Amino acid sequence: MIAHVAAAGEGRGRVVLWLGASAQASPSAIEAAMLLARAYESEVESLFVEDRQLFDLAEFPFARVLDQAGEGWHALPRENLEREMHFLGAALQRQVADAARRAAIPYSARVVRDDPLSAVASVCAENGPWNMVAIAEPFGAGDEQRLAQVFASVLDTTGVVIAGPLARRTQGPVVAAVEQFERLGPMLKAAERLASVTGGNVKLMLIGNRPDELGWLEGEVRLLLGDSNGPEVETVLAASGDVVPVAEAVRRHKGAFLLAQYGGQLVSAETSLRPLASALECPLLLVR
Amino acid sequence: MFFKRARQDKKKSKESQAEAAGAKGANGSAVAGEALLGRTAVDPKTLGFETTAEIEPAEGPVGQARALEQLAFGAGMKGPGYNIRVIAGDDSECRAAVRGKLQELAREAARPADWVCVGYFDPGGGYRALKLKAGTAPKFAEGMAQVIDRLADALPVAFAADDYELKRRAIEEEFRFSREDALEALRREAEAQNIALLRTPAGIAVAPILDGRVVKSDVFNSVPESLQREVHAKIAALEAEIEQILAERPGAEKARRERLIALNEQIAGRQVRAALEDIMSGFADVAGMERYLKAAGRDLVRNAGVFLTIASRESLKVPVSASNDARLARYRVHVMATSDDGAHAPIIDEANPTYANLFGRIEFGAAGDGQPSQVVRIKPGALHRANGGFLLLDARALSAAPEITEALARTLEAQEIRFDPPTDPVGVVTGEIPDLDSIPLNLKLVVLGDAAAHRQLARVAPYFKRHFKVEAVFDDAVERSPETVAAYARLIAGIVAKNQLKPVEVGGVAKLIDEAARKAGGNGKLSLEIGHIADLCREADHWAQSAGRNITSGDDVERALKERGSPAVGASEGSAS
Repeated sequence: MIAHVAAAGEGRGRVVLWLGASAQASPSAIEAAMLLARAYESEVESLFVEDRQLFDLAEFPFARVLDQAGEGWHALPRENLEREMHFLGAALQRQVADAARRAAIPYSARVVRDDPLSAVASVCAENGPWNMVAIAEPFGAGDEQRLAQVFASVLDTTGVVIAGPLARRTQGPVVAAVEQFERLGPMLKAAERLASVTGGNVKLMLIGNRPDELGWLEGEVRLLLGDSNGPEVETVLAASGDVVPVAEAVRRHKGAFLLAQYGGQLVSAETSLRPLASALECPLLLVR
Repeated sequence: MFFKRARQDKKKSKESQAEAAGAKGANGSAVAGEALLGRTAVDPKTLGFETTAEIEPAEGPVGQARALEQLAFGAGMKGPGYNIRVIAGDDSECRAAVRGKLQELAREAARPADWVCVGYFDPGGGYRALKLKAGTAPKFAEGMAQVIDRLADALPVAFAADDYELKRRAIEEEFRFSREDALEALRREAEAQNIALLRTPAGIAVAPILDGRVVKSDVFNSVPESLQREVHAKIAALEAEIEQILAERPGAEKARRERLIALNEQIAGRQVRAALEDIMSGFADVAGMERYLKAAGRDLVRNAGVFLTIASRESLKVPVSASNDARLARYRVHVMATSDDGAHAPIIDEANPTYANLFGRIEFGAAGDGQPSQVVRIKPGALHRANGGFLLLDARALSAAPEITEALARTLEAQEIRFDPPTDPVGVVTGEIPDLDSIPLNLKLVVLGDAAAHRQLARVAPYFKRHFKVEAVFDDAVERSPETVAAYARLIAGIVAKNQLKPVEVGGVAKLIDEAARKAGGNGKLSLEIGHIADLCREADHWAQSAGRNITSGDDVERALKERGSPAVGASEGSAS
């Protein structure tokens, strides 16, 4: 599928920045959303989702919360939850609004009380299909499952941006990880659009499980690119989905974005994303 | 014993005798003039020169050989107690003579070592004294200031570098992930029991679920109580497990903190070692230096955060040297004693011997951020500056401050300079005064005063006298002889040269010597109250200048004497020239 975001005013998509799953937002994820919007001349909508299940829980008289520091349990009356959600949403959306203002990106904000995935899916569906979802909080344990659910449930998105805990760089080259020859064109196109706003060039990283497979892929890619002043090409042997060499190569390039296919051998629903996400110093844009 | 009887108090009676005689002489009789002088007035022809320009100016005082000898003896004697009492008139020329002799002796003495005070970097916040080669203390102090300035630039850059930030966040995330992993495992375990771990803005909550969704409260209330109790039990068990996971965090938190500290020390340590390298090699031979620099290095690494705070706050201001910041004052090197190249043993004349002026003082500055005030400067006292040489004090000033004399006596007794002020500096809380290492005392104390002042000092501080085994008595008059008259002429030539006056004609010199004879009381002696003769020289020079002369004549000296109302004028009118 083509990684794409509709232009602002087109009414067929935007970058949806998903907030609310935690009390924090990754500055890199917010910055990545702004860059994506700028690359596609699109807009950003920040979506703060109040998890309806928490309000269901607050109806129980025994509902209580252990604070983040683990220092004590506190009752969870509905009014407290309402207030906390309100203030958290306001604070996070202010953070995004400030970033949008700085980047001069058209921006809108919305608060929805729903099941988080349903909320994202609905918001994308009402204005799609050319959306991209940026998950605002840093990637954490169990997020592979959430990511799989996003790709499965949110049909009107062409990609998902996540930021690992070490993500801090959004300027420089865009590294496009290509595993299948037939995806080269769309990946290269998306990488070029992104590179136009990150101040770097495109680096094609060909990934293969075996040397012979990788050799073939490299040959085909070089044949297609010809002798033109195309992107720099390198091959990375990532046997059995070993992401360490990939993360190391991205770090070496000081990449501003890693563009990869979701569902391939590098990032799949079955494998843990943590080794890659926790090593990357830039946001990861996963496309279908 | 080397005491000599004081003769100073005879001076007044001699002078009054002379003035009484002068009153008679003022009648105009040459005979009366001779009676006034006790001897015939000086015949200018016997002096053997036309003006003072022709004779060699005297460098030292006339007729004080014994006193100067005693001074030299005291200065040269080793061992405690060989300090010097100088009994001399209230005459700046006497003080100058003492100083001149001491300068001569100082030139022969070795240039003393430098001393500095540096922080201990221990909780007590005391200061250690380091002895450095002569003249090197300012270089060391400047070197340490440069270390601080260099670190103020380098540390914020090092901590802002990609490498550091990445490592720091990796540690933070490792810690976060380990907690998340434990909770994720528990979440899966709970889900199998139809219980969900939910994140709220405030923390973690536990809820009963059915088909992956939180059960509505009315649905839950409709199920049998036994089932509700079962769910409650599961929730309670899970809550206990969550607590346990988080209760284990202090250990992990400690490990995280230790790793962050180790990382900070690695980053800061590299910069601190590089900054201290030069100073370490330049002063490696100084006893205690290695220990000090290692302690300073450890402290700098521990307090690297202060440099970052300063950098962030100063970024919008006009840049100033970080070494001047009160928050970094603990690294300041306080020079207590030093000397310039080519200098000899110091001679310090302290006219106002307060505690601060003698023993130094500590100045405090506000460190801001609610931090206690910091020692920003340790100012050396005269004792520090004179160490290795001579300290001149006034007997009258000491007798007016018995507590200072007592502190001085303790210093002489202990043979070390200790900072123990009788009162805390203004604005300083008692107990904030840090301990300063004492510095070995190695000086000759020279206390000057007339006999009365010394007697007063002995009354006020009787214990003080035993620290003065040498006494130098400056005579107030010298026997008149052809030799002393000639020496006196050279002394006048010396005054002329020193004050850059016009040469004095021989007749003028004779009148000045006559005046010295009159001042001595007309008993065949010449007064050594040189200040009076020097004043006359200056005033006669003024009258010569007024008359447009290039040489000060006998008339000019006469005019000066007359203007002063000297009884000798009438007497000398018929005898001299």
